[in-house]
Amino acid sequence: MRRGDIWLIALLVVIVAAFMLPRLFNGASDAENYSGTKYARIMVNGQETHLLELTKESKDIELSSTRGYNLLRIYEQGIEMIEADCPDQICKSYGFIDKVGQTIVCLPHRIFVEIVGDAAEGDGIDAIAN
Amino acid sequence: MRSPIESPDLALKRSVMIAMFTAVAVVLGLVETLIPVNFQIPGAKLGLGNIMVLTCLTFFRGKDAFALIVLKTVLTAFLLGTFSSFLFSFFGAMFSFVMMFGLMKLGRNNFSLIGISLVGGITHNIGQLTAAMIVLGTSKIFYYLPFLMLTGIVTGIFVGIVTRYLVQSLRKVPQFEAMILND
Repeated sequence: MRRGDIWLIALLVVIVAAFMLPRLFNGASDAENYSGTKYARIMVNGQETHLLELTKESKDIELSSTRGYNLLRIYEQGIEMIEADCPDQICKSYGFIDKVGQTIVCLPHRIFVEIVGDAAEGDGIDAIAN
Repeated sequence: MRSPIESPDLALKRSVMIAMFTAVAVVLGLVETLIPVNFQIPGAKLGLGNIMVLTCLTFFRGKDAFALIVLKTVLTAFLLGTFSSFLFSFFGAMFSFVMMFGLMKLGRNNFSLIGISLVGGITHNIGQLTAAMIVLGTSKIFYYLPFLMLTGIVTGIFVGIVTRYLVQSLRKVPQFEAMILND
């Protein structure tokens, strides 16, 4: 351990704290207190393909492309990656998500799922109106 | 001092050594997927392959370490069948290499292997996420970066310590010593 190492670790810890603390105190509670309707925005290869309400009833979404197959399931006002034939299976490790701002990513199949609220940065409403 | 014309004998020895380092790095990458360390953070990993990259950077030239990284990334993609995410890991590996190489050259007096390992691990994540951001067209992919950085700090320190032990041990190998002295 040299002096530079200590400074580097300190700098990294500060950066991480700067990102995480506001999220823990405000972001998380905002997302937890959010009681409006939530939607799952599904993007494949940078294009939005689905915008679905997160209902209590379960609903399966199958995504098939030349890259592979994925099965997303909406239930209990949240969403989870149930099946994927990608090699790394990282997308399944995101588990069940149900808070605004949370994401699921399947990089090999270029799938990006994000939970948005009604008032999510304005574009949520537009997207829903469409 | 390095002689202007490298002897073919030394060049061959070095090539063999790079090949061996690559093999070990690939195997470490495979073994890593079998170790049930659950960080609860998608995409977080130990980064054991970086041990070999760092060792290579310590003993050999930058282009040797570069060769190791390219070979390791391609071989891992073939063996694990992760060719669809090859682009992302390659981008991460390249960014990580440039940063570690730069730090090795410029900041060797201020940073030990631990610091260089940390930078390598975290820039690997940043490079990978940047490639993902470009392809997926959303900066929200960075949502998990702080969490990845947190685990990156811990695994980076660990990898740095392991590398230091490996470097110390390899220095005692006579054949290795000869090669380094000739470099």
